[in-house]
Amino acid sequence: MNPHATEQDDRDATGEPVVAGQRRGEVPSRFTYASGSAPLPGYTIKRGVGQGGFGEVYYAVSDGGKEVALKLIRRSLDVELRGVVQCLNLKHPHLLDLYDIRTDERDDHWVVMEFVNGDSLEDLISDHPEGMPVGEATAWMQGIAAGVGYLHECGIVHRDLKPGNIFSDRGLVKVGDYGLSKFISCSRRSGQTESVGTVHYMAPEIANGRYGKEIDVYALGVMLYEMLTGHVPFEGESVGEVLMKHLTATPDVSRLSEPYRSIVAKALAKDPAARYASAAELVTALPPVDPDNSRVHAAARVAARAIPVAESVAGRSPEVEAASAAAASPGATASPGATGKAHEVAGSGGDDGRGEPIAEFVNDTFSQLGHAWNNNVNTPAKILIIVLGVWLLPAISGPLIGALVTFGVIYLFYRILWQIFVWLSDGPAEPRGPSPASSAHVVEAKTVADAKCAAPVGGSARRVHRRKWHPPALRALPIKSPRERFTELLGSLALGAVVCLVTCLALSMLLGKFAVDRFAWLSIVSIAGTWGVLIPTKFWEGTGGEASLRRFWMLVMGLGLGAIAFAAQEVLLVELPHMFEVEPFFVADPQSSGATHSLLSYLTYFGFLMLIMRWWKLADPLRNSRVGLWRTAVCVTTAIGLYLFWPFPQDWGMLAQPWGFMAAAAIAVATQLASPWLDPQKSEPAKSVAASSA
Amino acid sequence: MVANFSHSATHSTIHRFPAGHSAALQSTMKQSGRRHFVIWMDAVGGFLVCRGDHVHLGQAVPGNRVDVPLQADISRHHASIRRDQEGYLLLPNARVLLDGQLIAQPTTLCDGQEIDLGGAVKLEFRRPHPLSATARLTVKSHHRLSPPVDAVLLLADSCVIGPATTSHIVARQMTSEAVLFEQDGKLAMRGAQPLTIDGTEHVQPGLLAEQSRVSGEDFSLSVESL
Repeated sequence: MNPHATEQDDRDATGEPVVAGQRRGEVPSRFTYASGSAPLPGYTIKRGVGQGGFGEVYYAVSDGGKEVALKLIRRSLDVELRGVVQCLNLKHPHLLDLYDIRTDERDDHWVVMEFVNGDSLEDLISDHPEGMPVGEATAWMQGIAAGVGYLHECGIVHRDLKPGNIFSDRGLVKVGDYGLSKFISCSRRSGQTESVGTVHYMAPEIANGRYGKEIDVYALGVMLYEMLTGHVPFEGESVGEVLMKHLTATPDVSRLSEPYRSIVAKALAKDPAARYASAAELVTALPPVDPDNSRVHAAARVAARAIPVAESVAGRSPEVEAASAAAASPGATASPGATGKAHEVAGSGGDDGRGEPIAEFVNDTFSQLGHAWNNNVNTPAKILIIVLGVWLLPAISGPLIGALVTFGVIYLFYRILWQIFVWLSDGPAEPRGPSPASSAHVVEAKTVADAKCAAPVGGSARRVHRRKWHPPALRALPIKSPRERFTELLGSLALGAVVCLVTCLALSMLLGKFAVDRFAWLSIVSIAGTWGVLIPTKFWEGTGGEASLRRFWMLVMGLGLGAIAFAAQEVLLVELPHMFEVEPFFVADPQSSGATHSLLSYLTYFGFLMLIMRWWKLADPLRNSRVGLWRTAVCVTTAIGLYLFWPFPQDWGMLAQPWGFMAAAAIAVATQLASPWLDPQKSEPAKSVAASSA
Repeated sequence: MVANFSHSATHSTIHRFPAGHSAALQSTMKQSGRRHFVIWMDAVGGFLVCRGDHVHLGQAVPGNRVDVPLQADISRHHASIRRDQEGYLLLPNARVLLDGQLIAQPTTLCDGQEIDLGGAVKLEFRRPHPLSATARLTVKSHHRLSPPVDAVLLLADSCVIGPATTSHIVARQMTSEAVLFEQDGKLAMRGAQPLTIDGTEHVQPGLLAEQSRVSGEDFSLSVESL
């Protein structure tokens, strides 16, 4: 014990509530206990830290050496102590930890809590008298809103949000002083007339004794304004003047730029109902920031892990979902329910909704097949299966297509009825949260991981689907110089030509009753097509360009390919016989055939073939496996479909199948084999991307 | 400017050295044997005050009696800082960078320079007051000092505590300055306004004991000898 500690004598002088709080430059009151004193057994006080509305805070060290903050609660009303007890076991990365509540010999209560040896937001604001950078302010807001949002979830209103209560612990935002907040409850909304909190951050309805969670949203708005401008929105000579301004004056938001102007204006609305409904909603409205550029950050990964716990404790609500999405992916603009509408990613081909049993089964099966294909089948076996498939498909395609169409029509009716049933039982357009029982959710997660799209943890899967060239994956790609690209391209072209020759040889042996001229024609078309895919995709590699623009270039390539195919047939005088008895569905007038239309038919066929498919996906270095069954099958099916649905007479040279889709199959296989591929098991960047998406 | 105080034998501490340490280093460390102390200033922070002209920086491990112990992956005697009539010199014992430049020889330290110990610990060297040779070291990386203080003061003659940014201890809430200084090898304090030292009001400078409580109009602090 330190003999010089000032004891009981001056306690009443400092016992008053500090209604106006400690603004910068104000003289702090004396601290009751000096360094070295130990009013609470087991803890030795080192120095006073600050004073708030409820008492003094000290920095102390326990006998065992643990550094803590000790908060002396003088005016310990039962209500307030119960509040602290309720908060004692809350855990959130953005909340200051509370360790214990202790009572000393004088029946004073002490809150033992985490000591943060970092700057408070107040210090930071005074370092930036003209406002801090927008990114920094947004990062702080994200952290504060995550912590405050968790409090609200637990039914607690902070009531005393102010920069002096918010700290940066090694860059992690921590909200403190919440233990003395008040419960949200109807009965207590007007239970206590005493003013707490700092007057600069006080919502107008506090004058009426209303302490809903809207007052925290108001305080967030005040802090956002203060962070961006360096000043609180309502300044005044006296407490009364400031309070009156909160009640009546309109904040001057003209110093802010949009969208901050309207965000602050909405948060500072006099009517609590006109404000943002939650802290998370306010943060969602803020433009996203690059987390690397700010000194503080929201605990994205930590929060993502903590939030499921929070949800299981508090049940979920759309706001909670938005909060978790916002916390988990600071860079993404999350909207409420975005996580719930993620079904589009499930299944590579289908647009079936999640939750519908048949679609789930189909997705599941395809996903498992795809997984088995990627992991259990080696490349020669894959090529064999593809070739066999191409050979078998025309033979069975007639009945197959009939069956598919019949099933499709039946399913469509079933689906409509099911959807109506769901709407009637759930209410329409409700964003469904991912229910733990939904196997499709698991499938979806697996599909995302398989696709090596590094989804931000907890982020919207829908975004991932739209942009498979996901930025983290792209960043993981090794950066290549133009020279390296050119060398790689030349290698790919040579390899592609070889693969084309081999595939064409195999195909024409299997299907086409081998003849040199047919083989030559098929090889020329396949090589031209493969090169036509490889060359532009090399330019696009590593970029996430627009699909429509790419399709246009592919159309140009397709037209060129059509011309080459026509020219090759003319020059070689190849006869490409009709091998199978499958006829197009829509056969135009057989009388209208003629050589003048032949070039047109070639151009149309190859033009559409290149336009419909996203061929550049086959050359994506981040594709699932080097040769994908699904992708190849889609290419060949498209080629067959084009033939089946295209109203041309069958005696038009090569359009008589199987020559068209033999070329398509050869192009698909050659493109995939010849273009570079990052093996996730071997390459570091792909591995890290896969790991981060897992 | 450097105060010329007699070495107080009663307060000297015995430094233990690893075998093979140079005799010259031992002699300089004996000179710095005056006891260090900590200022715990309410609402401001904690400050380790090193007395003597030569302070050693090293790893905080039990048994390593170094002047500025850092909880970091550095050598037990990583570097030292020596003050002479000219100013401050940084003497590296291990990998030390000054403003990003690797240094192998004693190098002059200037106000505002960044000292990097072992590529991890970043210290800001400040000599904020134009009339005082006292310097301040602040840890800019996330490393902790032992005892857990916010900054280290290399006390030359006096330590200014006040609201101005040129103060050694910046206390925004203060309206006037207070000065802590050494007088005949003992610590003393004076303020622009009267001070209360251990319950006694002082208008003139007052001496501090091993453990003292000092308060003024708008501040309070405790001094604790180590």
